Amino acid sequence: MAEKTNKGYLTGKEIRAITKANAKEMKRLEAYKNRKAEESEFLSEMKDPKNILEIEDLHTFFFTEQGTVKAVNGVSYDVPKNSVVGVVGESGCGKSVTSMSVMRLIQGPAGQIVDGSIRFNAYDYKRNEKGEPIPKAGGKEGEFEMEEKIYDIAKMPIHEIHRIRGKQIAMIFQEPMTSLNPVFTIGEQLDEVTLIHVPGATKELAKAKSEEMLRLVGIIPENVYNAFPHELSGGMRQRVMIAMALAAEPRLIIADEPTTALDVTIQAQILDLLQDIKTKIDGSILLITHDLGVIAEMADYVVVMYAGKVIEKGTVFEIFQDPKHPYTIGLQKSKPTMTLDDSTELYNIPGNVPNPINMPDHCYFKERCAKCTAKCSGDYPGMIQVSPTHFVACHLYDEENENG
Amino acid sequence: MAEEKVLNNEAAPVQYDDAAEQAAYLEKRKKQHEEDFQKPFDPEAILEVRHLRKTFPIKKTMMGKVTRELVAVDDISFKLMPGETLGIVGESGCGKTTAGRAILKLHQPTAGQIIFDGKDITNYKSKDMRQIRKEMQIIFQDPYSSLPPRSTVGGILSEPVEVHKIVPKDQIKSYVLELMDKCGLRDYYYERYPHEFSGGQRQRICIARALSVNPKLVICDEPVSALDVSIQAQIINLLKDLQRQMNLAYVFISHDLSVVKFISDKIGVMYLGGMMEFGTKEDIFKNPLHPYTKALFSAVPNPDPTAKMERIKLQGDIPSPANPPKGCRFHTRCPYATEKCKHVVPEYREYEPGHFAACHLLDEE
Repeated sequence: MAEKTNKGYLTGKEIRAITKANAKEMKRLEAYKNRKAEESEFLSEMKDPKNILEIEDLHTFFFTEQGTVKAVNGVSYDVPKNSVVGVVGESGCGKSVTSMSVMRLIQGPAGQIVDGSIRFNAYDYKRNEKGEPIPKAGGKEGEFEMEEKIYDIAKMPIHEIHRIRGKQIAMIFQEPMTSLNPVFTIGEQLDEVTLIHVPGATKELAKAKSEEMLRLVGIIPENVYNAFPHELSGGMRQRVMIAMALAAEPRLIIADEPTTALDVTIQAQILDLLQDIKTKIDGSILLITHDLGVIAEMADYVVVMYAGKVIEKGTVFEIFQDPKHPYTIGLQKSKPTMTLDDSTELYNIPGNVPNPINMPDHCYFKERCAKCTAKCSGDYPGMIQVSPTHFVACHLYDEENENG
Repeated sequence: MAEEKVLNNEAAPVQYDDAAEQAAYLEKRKKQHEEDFQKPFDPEAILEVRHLRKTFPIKKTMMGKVTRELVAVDDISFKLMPGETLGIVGESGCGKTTAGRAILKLHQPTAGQIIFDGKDITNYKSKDMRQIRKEMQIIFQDPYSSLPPRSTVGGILSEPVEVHKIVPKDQIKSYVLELMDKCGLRDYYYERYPHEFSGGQRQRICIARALSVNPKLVICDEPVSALDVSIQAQIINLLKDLQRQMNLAYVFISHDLSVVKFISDKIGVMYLGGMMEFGTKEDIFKNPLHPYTKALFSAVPNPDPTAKMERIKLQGDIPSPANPPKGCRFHTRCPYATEKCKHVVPEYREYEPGHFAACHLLDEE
């Protein structure tokens, strides 16, 4: 990595050197992404069969001419079956990039999954030697033999990703207006999901499926099926997005800030709907948000991220009632709540999130931490287990762990 | 309680004549306004708003006559003392930003009176407004688009000082540096450009710019909505600190109830352009009167997983302000709405000293 001048700017020479090194690295990773591979290459095994998704030591980097941005730097967490996992953190902490990596939506060639594995338990077609689905013996047309397969998404070639993306894992985005296509009606966009993901689906089948999904999210299909996105309100659009995500009957829904753009009363409606949906489709939700209130209400497990790393994870009760990491504690104290005594000054974490380029070797939170000790200048702390489900990455708990 | 009322109503149906109700309402309102406009100004208040109304034309005839209009702010009134904070909460499209801008006369109000520091500024021309501008300032929501990208921080902060002749020319730099220190900006930022700063720092620059002319009133239009939680806390504390030091009055516009609760002394709840409830913070939070206020509070997610509270669920979406419902504007989503609510506009009146609300249910109790 090129050295920085004291003003914080890079010289042209340094930028050229970085660009050259990046080009080589990006070319290698692009080739790996676009390679042809046998299915056996990206099949894997789950560590715990109860999980639907296991992210292990994931590294997603962006190669820029200022240097490498380590947006996700060794993130590991699991999503158990039939549960809601909430990922919380400030902007730029890598929570969205992690979910984009799961969907393989990272914009190349600058953005690349560099290392790690994302194991997903899919319910997919049994395939013959040519890679085609095997029709079910004695079944109707359009029915195929199914089986559970564990895919390693990080190792999948990009042209195979359609087996999972949109079908097994669906995504709900933050901004419903920009995620819906303004020139097609809601009906056309919803039908497309079924037409693409169900082999041999007819238009009639697709329409029936779309209408069923709209009813599921509490919309009367007759009013909306032929409407264009701009004719709907923000809450209705988000419902349509949820219907679209559900249309292919996914096993995992990634909701990336699903309510951030909505008003509180509409947010309450959408959160209720998501809870409902979870029980109806019998799947899991990965909920990404910066709102601690939403997390507390929705999630079973919580993952707290800071500057591209997981700093604490555990069940929702552990994180909210017995937070361990100084950042988690600070985050909870700095959020004004409806029940807070407001005569006192609000707690605040001093300083800013560090620059994602040239991260220090020590704990990234050291400069902002009130409980910082001499040990914190050493290596980045590892994950310390404080209870069977509760992990924290902080030197404060090193000793505790050694003694106990 | 509410169900009982519905039953009573069904037993003795009252026929409402919409046109007559509307005419009576307008007549009464006109009279009330004329009476209120004659009242003397409160000498202590820094800002007094009386029956402020702002409409935007939607449709015009060829001759320029407005045939359809959107009522963004409809008949809001309040008083603000020096050193106090008024929080305005409401959902998107409820007119809270328009109200803030109309107070600053960035929008010319359609009707009503704005009395700032004992002067009726409603009909001031832009030339006269220049003198007032240095006493009332605004902080915008998005710190990324509200700073000029081509000037340095020093330039941004010196310009208002120079224009309004706050200090002699040779003292401008030292004045600006002192101000930057007050707002938590290091002195070497003076030569830097806005793009070099993070969101929280930029918002500090915006605050410093607003305070550079020693204003008495600052309109904060969602100043912390674009910021992260940890940065949000820093900015809120800074605003509170500066208020204490400079005896500022704030109009704090936000959709985040918990932030408004933390910073405000008085709170106004707006819905579809109208003020639904107004009172001190204690009134509004401990004893909310209006069903909308209650529903709004219960919709805020609580960051405590053990607290499973009962939620008042509001059905449906906010109606379009271009086509607001007849009668009480909240009746389409109100869980307690009666026949009367659909036809008669509820009166906005004082139920406890300093605690105003507009709801028919309160009249019947």
